[in-house]
Parts: sequence; C-alpha cells; structure tokens
Amino acid sequence: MGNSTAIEDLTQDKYKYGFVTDIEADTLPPGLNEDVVRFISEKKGEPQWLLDWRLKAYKRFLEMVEPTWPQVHYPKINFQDIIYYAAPKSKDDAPKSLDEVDPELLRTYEKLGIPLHERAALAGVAVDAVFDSVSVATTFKDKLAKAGVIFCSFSEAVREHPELIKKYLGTVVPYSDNYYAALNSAVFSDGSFCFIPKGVRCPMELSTYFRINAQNTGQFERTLIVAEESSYVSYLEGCTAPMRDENQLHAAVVELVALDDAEIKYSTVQNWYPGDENGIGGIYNFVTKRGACRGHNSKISWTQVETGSAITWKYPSVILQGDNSTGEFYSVAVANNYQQADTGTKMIHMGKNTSSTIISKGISAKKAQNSYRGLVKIQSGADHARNYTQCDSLLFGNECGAHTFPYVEVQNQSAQVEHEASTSKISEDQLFYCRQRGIDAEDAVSMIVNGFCKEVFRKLPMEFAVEAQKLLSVSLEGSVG
Amino acid sequence: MGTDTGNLEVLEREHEAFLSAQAASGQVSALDTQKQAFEEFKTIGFPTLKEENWRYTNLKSWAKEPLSFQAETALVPQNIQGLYEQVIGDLDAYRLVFAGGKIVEAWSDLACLPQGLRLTTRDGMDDGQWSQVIAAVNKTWRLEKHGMHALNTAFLDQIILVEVDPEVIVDKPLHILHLMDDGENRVLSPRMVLSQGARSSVTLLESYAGGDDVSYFTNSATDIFIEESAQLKHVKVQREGAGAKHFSSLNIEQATSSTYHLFSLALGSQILRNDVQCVLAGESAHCSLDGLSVLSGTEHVDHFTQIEHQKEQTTSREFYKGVVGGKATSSFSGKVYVHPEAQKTDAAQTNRNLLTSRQARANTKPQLEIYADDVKCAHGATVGQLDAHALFYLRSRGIAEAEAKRLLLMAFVAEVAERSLRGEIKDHVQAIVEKRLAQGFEVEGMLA
Repeated sequence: MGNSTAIEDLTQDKYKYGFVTDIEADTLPPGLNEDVVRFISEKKGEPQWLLDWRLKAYKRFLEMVEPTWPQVHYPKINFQDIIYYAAPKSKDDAPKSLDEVDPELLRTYEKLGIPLHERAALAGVAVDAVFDSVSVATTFKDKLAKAGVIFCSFSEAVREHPELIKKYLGTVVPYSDNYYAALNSAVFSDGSFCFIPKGVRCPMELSTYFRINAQNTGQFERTLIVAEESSYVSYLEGCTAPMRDENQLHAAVVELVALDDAEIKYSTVQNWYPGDENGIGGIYNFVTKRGACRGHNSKISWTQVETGSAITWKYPSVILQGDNSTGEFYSVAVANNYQQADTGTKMIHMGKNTSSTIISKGISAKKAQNSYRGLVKIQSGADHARNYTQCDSLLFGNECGAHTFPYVEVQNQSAQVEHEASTSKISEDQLFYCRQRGIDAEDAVSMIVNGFCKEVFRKLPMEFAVEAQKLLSVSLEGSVG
Repeated sequence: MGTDTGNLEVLEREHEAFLSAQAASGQVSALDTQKQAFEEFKTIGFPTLKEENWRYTNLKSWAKEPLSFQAETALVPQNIQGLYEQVIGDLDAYRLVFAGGKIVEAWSDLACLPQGLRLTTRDGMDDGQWSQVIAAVNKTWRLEKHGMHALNTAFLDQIILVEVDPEVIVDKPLHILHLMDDGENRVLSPRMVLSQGARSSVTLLESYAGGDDVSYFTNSATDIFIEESAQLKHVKVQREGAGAKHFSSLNIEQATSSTYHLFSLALGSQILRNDVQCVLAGESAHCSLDGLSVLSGTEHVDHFTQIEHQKEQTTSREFYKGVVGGKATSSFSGKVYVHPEAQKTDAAQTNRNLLTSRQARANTKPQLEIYADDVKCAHGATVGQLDAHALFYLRSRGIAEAEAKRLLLMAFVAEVAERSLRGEIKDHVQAIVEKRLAQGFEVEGMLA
C-alpha cells in the first residue's frame, strides 16, 4: 500500500486530553509504610475493623511478590515513590451541589467534553465524579434515594452504611487475592459504592468518571456494587487523564455481587494517557475486577473498551456460583505505539446450567503488544455448563504483536466449551473495496475496525458506544500502512 | 522457590555408578557432556506444577522414588516375544528393536537396510557421526530447558543415529520399537538423532510398548533435522501399561520447503507427557502435528507443542483429539510462535475433547504469540460429550445403545488418522485404536 506517508502524518495525532489542573492537593509525602495506611484510615474517619482489615492487607502485601507472568514489560515500580493520599482541598466543607464545586474542576470536565451538569441532565445519568481521591460531586441523589438505591462514594458508604460494607467488602476479591489487590486493600483512597435493594430496577444508568490528577498520585479506587434479589443496575465507568511524563500506577479493585435473579451490567471506557509515540509516560493500569453471581438466575456482564494506558493488566471475571447464572465479557482492547495490554477474563463455573460468553477483540498497531489471557473453568458440580469464547486480533504494522493465552479446564462431562481465536491483518481486499468506492483510507480503516468491534459496541449503552467509536478512530488514526 | 531435585542422593549415586560403568566399557567421549548435564539438572531440578508449562502434569511423587538408571539383569527378549509380535502386527517395515534399552539384533534389520539409509548405534559411530550426535545433544532449543531433558543427557546411553542421504526415497517405513517389561522405578533414557538429507523422503514409526504391571519411566529425547525439500512422516504409537510413565522431548528443525508430519497416538500410561517443538527455520517449510489420545482409568496424557515460524511463508497445522473416560485427564497445550520475519505465516490449530465419564478431565491451552502482521493464524478448542441428537438418531434406527456409542466414538477418533495417515500405516494405527476402544472402553451414562 502506497499511502504510508499520509498515514504517518495521521498518526502524529497527540493525546487530545492532555492538561493538568492546578489545584492545591492535600497530599502525603511519597512512600509506603504502616503509618501511611493508618493515616489514610484516620483521615477518612474509618472504624477500627476497616483499619484492621487494611493492616492485614498491608502485611499480606509485604509477603507477596510482584507478578511477572503477564506479557508486559516495564521498569520496576518503586512503591516508595508513590503518593498514597491526595485529596482536593476544602474537604471539610465539601460541596453540596455543582455550584459549590471548584470552578477549575468543572472546567477540567468541560475540557474533557463531559460537562457534568449538562451530561447528567441530558443523559439522565447520575455522576459520582472521583477527582483524585475524594468524591467531589454527586448528582441525582434524590431520584436514586427515592428508588432506594444507594449510590455514593466509598468513604461515605463506610460512614453511612457500615453494615453493608462490612458484609460485602473483600468477599469477591479478598485482600490476599493478588499483589495489587492487596496493595489496594491496604491503601485504597476512595471509590464508589452502589446498592440496589430487592426488586428494584435502578431508574438510571450510574456513571463515575475517574480522573488521575495530582502529579505522582497512585490511584487506588475501590468499587463495590451489590444487587439484591431481582434487581438490575447498569454501571458506567469512563476515564481520561492529563498528559504527563511520569508513569502512574493505578491499582483499582472492583467487586460485584449479584443475588438471586439480579443483573449487573458494568461498562468501561478506559482512555488514560497511553504515553507518547516513543513510549514515554503513560498510566500503569493494574486492575482487579471480579463479580460473583451468588444467586440463582443472576447475571453479570462486563463490557470494556480499552484504548488508553501504557500498560493494562486487567481480567474482569465472573464466578458463577448460582444455578442458571450467566457471565458475559465483551472487550475491545486497542494498543498503539508502545502500549502493552494483557487483558482477558475468567469464567469460573460452579453452579448447574451456568453459561458464559466471551467476545474479545484485540487491535495492535505500531510497536504495541496486545494479549488476550483467559480462563474458562468448569468445576465438577457444574452440570450442563456452557461456554463460548471468541477472541480475534487485528494487526496493523509489522512491529506489533498479538497474543492469545486461553486456558480451558473442564471437570464435568456434560460441559460444552468452545473456544475460537483468529489473528490476521486488516484485509487489503476490504480496504481496496472501500477505496474504490471513494472512501479515503482513514475512513475505510475506521469503518473496518468498527465492523470488527461491532459485536462489543452493540453491548455498550448508547452514549458510551458513540464515545467508544470516536475513541477508537482517534486511537488508531493513521495506523494502517 | 526451591528446586525440586527429588531424591537427589539416589540420583547422585546412580549417576556416579552410571559414569563409572561407562568409563569401564571404554565409552568416555560423552563423559563431560553427561557430567555437565547432571550439574544442570541439579540447578533446575524436576519440573513442578508451578511452572507454567507444567501446570497439568505432576511428577512430584514419582521424583521421590528411588529411581534406578541401570538394569541389574538384562531383559531376556524371548520373554517378551508375545509383546513384540503384537506390536509389529502385519506391518512390512525395516525394524530396529530395543528391549529394556538394549538392541535386540535378532529382531532388527540393521544388516539389510536400503542404500542411503543408515542406522548407527553408539558403538558403531565414527568420529564424524559422534560429533554430529553431540552437537545435536548440546543444541539449545528455544523452549526452556527443564530437568527431564537434562536428565536424559546426563544418562545418555542408548543412542541411535538415523541418517538418510539426499535424494533417497525409502521404500518401506522404518519401525523403531521400544519394549519394556520389567524394572521397578527403572528409568530408560533413549535418544535418537535423525538427520535427513535434501529431497529425501522417509516414514518413521516409533512404537513404545510395555507390560501392565511394571512401573518404569521412559525419558526419551529425539532431535530431527530435515534438510531442504525433504519429507518426513513420523508416527508415534505409545501404548504402554497402566504403570508406565513416559516423558518425551521431540525437537524438529526444518529447512526450506521441507515437510514434517507427526501423528502421535497415546494410549495407556499412568503419566504421559509429549513435548514437541517444531522450528520452521526455512522459507515455505510446512509441518503438521496431529495427535489422538484414548484414555480411561487414571491415565494422564499431556500433549505440549510449540511451533515456531521463523521464516516467510511457513505453514503449520495442528489437529489433536482426545477421548477421555474413567478418571483420566487429557491436557493439550499448543503454542504457535510467529517471529517478526515470518510474514505470510499460515497457522491453524484445533483441539477437540470428548468426555465420556463423570470424572474425566480435559484441559486445553491453545496459544498464539504473534510478532508479524501479515499472517493468518487461528485456533479452536472444544470440550464436550457425545452428541445426544446423533445418538438418538442411531437409536431410532434400531441400533443398540452401546453399539451406537461405539460408532460415534469411532467416528470421532477415526478423523485424525484419516486426515494424516495413508496406506499400511493407517491400517496399522486404526487397528490399534479399534482394539483399544473395544477393550473395556465404556461410555458412562450421559447426563441428560
């Protein structure tokens, strides 16, 4: 193909969302020790049991070794260089409404193209915006409260609903689960808590915007969503981050619990700073996400569009405990330049007649490495379990890599498990066909890629799907050659 | 994490005894290599479940046994006449027979090989041949070395060099038999180096067989070098007894436009692990790896394959199937690794498993690692049980349940041999499979 120069030009596209908001942060000096854990807990006015839990996690963390099995390479992280607590100023007189929110913050959101109030009003979305580590604005609380839905920051939940937190925290992702989960459990700063009571269909889609802002701040979010019997919730998580040159660690933990007949739909658009075209900077995204289908006929569905981060290490999983429960994983992961993504899912079938679907689409361009890593495990009691897995990779450019590491472990005769994977480059025939009909190379690529990812986009809530498609075109501009 | 060197004291004693026996019989040319390999073993130890490549095969309890590497009394070939006859079947082939690790000249056709095909054992090798063997033994393959491989080299004894001259088309299959019928915790370390000249063609059949109540371990290693445009058909039949354990390391390096076909049949064995590493080192080289396992009881089979596409336009196919009954476990790991230079690679891989009993287990791990963009790679894996609809169809036509199940099983397994084998060899293999399925292989009641 002869349009490589045009393509080169197009790939020069800089990260559009790069800027740093200057707010005086109330920060701890960098470093990690037991006092830091105590400081965070005290700062948040946490009860003793939670502090104990954090300390147990911290002790466990010290005994663990950093995992090296993911197919990613990065300089060793110095956990002493990270700031473990940064909160926007004036937290004592926290804003009651949007008007009280620091205007600079609001401008930041506007630059991101997500004007909070507008978006909330137009899209009917309640936003619990996490700016650095403390939630600064929450909307639509009344409407949700009327339905009985609890949707608040994690710290608030610890204060207001300690019995729920105590009951569910760490039951899906125990503090000893893995290295980064242990770290998160010890030093998590804030996050979101969501509780849908029995029989309630959450009246709106819940959404949180995570932002990493103060320099060198590790962000350790903790999200817990509990859907009681016969309830339904759709939760949206989206992120962008300012441009900077130092790598930042993000080690979040997300726990979902679905009881009998409940359904949780969790969608993510992740667009953190991926580093520049030379691989300098970018976010390290080491996330533990897991859902437990505890009840019969429950359902958990993960949908993710991953275009950002220098390194992504993320395996949203579902434990299918209840009979007839369903797990789903739909993913588009894009890696460009020097990005590295090692992502996938785990479906653990324990209950009878459980079923799971995995659709993973990986796109690699330039020098990026993109891996799918997944486990489908059918335990011996899971009669008539069913899994279908499809993971496809698309390659742009001869220096990138696409890898697939699926594990299928079946311990029940009646299981039916299928796994399919394919890897290929973007078809020249398809490109030629589009070009021949007067569509320029850029649009043609975008069209083909969108077609490739369609199965996943279809699963996203509408406004997210639009954003995701735009993101994808931006992320891949000019990558074809 | 400590290394698991098993019962190191026994191993050290065995190795010393082995080396002095070697020195006593004047075989000193490999002593250094053997010593070095043993040192290497001591640092890496036996593979453990913690190693990613060994997740599904556990050697721990075996490694603790007091292993013995030399026979106290030699196996008397006449005692295993029946086994021998059963293994050769009706196949017309050039034969080389090992019993308990020693050549049985009376049963071997060493003297009447065709022009251009040479089989040389340790004693008969000239310096050139010996250095060729040592070079192959010391060659570093990309797949991580592990203790079993080092152990084979440390106890290097039973070596065979197979040479096929350029342009030679060998008319009959070459059948190498490894028979074993005694030895508590005995470890055999057979080693074969096959060097195939340009544009030659040969069919190699390897059979491993043994009695039911012996608990020996075969730790075999084979290195195959296929020159330009040469063709090798390789059939491995492993039907050892229920107490036997087998680890096999098979490394293949292929030059431009060469072709390698492997058909690996696994029946029986308490533990069977087959490592296959195929390196497509020349342009347009092609390999196909096929395998079939039929397991029952507490049998365990782990097929571990890695195909490396190093050059342009190389192609590979993999097709593995497993029927797993009883409390048996079947595992398959297949990695396709495409190097950045290997544009226009075409690789496809399939693994299908059929579980026929409640406690049967299947693990599958098909992997792709791709560093080139102009490629076509795909893999598929399935685990399931017999199709209830197909069974119903047969039953509705008046076929008894047991017979219907047998037919469906036959259809499932026959596909592999149908795809990859032809002529006499195919008949030979199909007969073995049919016999296996006929002998007490039951499909437990299906879960409806």
